[in-house]
Amino acid sequence: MKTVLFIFLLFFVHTAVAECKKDFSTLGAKYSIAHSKAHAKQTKSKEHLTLWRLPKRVGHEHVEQKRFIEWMQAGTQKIRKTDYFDANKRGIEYYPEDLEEHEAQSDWSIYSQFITEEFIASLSPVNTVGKGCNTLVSYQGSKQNAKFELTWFPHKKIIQSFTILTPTLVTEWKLEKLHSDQTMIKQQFAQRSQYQLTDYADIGDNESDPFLLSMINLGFVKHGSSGFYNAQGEAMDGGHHHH
Amino acid sequence: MNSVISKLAVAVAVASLAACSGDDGKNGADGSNGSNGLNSLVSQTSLSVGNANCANGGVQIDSGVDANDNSTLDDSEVASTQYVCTPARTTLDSSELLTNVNNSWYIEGTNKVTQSKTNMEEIAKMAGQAKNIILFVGDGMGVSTVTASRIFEGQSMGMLGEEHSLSFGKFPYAGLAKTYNVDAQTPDSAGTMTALMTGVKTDVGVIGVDEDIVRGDCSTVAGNELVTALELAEIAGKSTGVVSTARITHATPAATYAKSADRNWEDNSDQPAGTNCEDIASQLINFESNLEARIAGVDVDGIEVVMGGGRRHFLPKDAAYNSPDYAGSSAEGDRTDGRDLTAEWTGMYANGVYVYDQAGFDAINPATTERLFGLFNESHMQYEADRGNDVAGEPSLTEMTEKAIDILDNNNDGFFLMVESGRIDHAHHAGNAYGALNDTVEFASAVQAAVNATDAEETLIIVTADHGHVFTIAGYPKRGNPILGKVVNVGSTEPALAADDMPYTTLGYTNGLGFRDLGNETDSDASYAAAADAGRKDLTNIDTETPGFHQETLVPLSSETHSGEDVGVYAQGPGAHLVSGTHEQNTIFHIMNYAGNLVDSANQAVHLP
Repeated sequence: MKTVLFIFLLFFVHTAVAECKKDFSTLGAKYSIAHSKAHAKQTKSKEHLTLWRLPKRVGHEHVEQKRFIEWMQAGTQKIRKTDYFDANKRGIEYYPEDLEEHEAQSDWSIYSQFITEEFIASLSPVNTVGKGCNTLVSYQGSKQNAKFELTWFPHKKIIQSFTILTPTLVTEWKLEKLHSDQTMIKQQFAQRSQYQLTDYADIGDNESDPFLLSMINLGFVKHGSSGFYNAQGEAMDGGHHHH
Repeated sequence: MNSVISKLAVAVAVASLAACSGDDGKNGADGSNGSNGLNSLVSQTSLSVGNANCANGGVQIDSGVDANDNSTLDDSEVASTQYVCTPARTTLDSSELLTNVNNSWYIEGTNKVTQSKTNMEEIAKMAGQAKNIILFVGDGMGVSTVTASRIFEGQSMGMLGEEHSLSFGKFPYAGLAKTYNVDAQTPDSAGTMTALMTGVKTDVGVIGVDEDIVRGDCSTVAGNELVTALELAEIAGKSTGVVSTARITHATPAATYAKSADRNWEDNSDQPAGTNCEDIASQLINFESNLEARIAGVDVDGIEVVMGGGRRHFLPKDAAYNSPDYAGSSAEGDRTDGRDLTAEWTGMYANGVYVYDQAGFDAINPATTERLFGLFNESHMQYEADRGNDVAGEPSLTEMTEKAIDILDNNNDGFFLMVESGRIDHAHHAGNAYGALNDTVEFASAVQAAVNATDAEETLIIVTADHGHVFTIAGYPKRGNPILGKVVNVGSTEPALAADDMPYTTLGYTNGLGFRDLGNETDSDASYAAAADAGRKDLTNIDTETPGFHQETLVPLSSETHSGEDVGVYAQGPGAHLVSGTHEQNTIFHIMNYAGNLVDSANQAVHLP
């Protein structure tokens, strides 16, 4: 009997691991991000952020701002950023980053899934539901004044929900929609690659360009969520790679 | 005070009576005595040196009547005052000048004038004495940048700094250039470089065409093309070269060889759909055929040396054409016409060598290389302070200058070379003095390399800028204060505090992105990743001398701007004396033309059978 049970368990585990052989390197995930005061009933603000993922290339679409920030692996420990402004059909190109100088971004996962593996590992698993590729794991944790509640698709490598509670602020991420149409996902990048791009080093040499003159007002995700959280679960500035 | 009083008696004459014929009568009784007369008095007083009326001393002469008859000329009795002053000295005893003549500043000044007199005697006054012409352009290198860089380099050498000279600061002749464009008080690189290269001022943002152009309107190019000094040199049979740390299709280098209604048309994808004008990168490759087509009777052999950045404008937007050192998974190139211009170039020039990294550059043998095309970065080359971070390595401006001259001077008829430090400008735009000063020091090193590699008697070297930046050296820092540091006043050891009780840096910008504290970040452009942060900051605990410190600014803008003041022009060699004075910027072309006899030589070459 014990042998039968053991064999059954082996079969179950093997099946569970082998069950998800899908490749999720290409997907889209749209999130709503709500901010509210702690203990308040009403939401203070809400925004939408869509993750578009390709192999070695991701896009963060800040829907309300009509802004698409593309991150691309560019060789060993280097990342290239391009900032697309959809309303103007213009973009700003940046040189590849030397990640060794910015340890907070040394993990590509911060771009491809918004939270690092290190952060996930720091949390305590609470519950696991679903099976195969749809396995969903719940985590809890805390750091200094912040408490975290995370539900995570380990095979898809995406957040289903993520709540950060501090004494003054509550931030809630919720997955609203998942895209798997590869053609549509690739199109997100292809359409923006047609925009007129300007080297960020050339901004100052284009004083007569109305778009570049207005750069200061276009903002660099000052108030919205960047989607980046470090190993301590702290939200990081959007588009600002120096910490 | 000595006084001399003289007393004078005044006699009253009585009229004599006429004689009578009878006996004299008895004398009449004496009349009563008249009243006593008054004495006039004169008083002399010696005056010492420094007197208000006699600076060198002298005598004051007072005169009047002694009304109270006390034999003293009282103040109230003075009716007239005169001064007899001692004349001033017109010579000084040599011992009285010792403090001056023994001072090192005085000695240096004397020697400078002596040298200047010698320079004047050696001026080569005949036109065409310059077999070679090298134009160095520090993009954005205004006078304050030159001064700050001089101090920066000097301090890096262990000096106090202010007394140091950059390489071109030792040139015998200097002047100023007025940089405005035809339509802009504060100019851009395109209009200014066109002025430098063609002798004609033009509008902002256009390349190699005159003010009749309409920016962005391709149809207005034809008929408004200007001829550049590089083209004239080519026609005259000289070798030519263009070197830049910016993209080789960027405004400054482009103005040496291209004609464009917009500086941004670096490749075909940058031009509006349906544009029928050749893009700048294509014009570089087709320079030889374009020039021969544009000017009848011309036979040139093309630009011999081209080095810089901007590979993406020469490659198709297809990852299959990516350079081996390109770090990215997408296409490196931007061209949407499918053309690989690097391949077109190597196809045109079988003896030419195309390189894209340090190793390729190092392998070039200038003695045997006929033609060199180097594109060392997909966009701009690295800031000098950041150059070590380049993936495949790239040569410095000094190295490129040396290699270019070594190739070009193989031509016995001489050469024309333009060398640009293109990123002084970019560092300033990003509000990073460290980056700007480092690139300026490297620029000065490249100038020295050119001085070392050429014969001053036959080579005119001009060093200038296209425009300045809103970059200031302010406060009253003591001598030798670190130029990138906070102001520490004379006699102090702690930073001075402003009215807001916070320290402030010597260097600053009037506008731009403002304060950043990025530590050891050597890429000035990292500043653009965050919103502007203008205004005052508490710098008390901040190391302002780090590469990643960006100075405070007053006016928040997405990028710091150019400035409108004159820029320096420094020169040595035949015709160099002509830079003295304040000139319109386009005059620089005319100086090069005079020194190198470019127009006449080109005309002669065209008309030769």
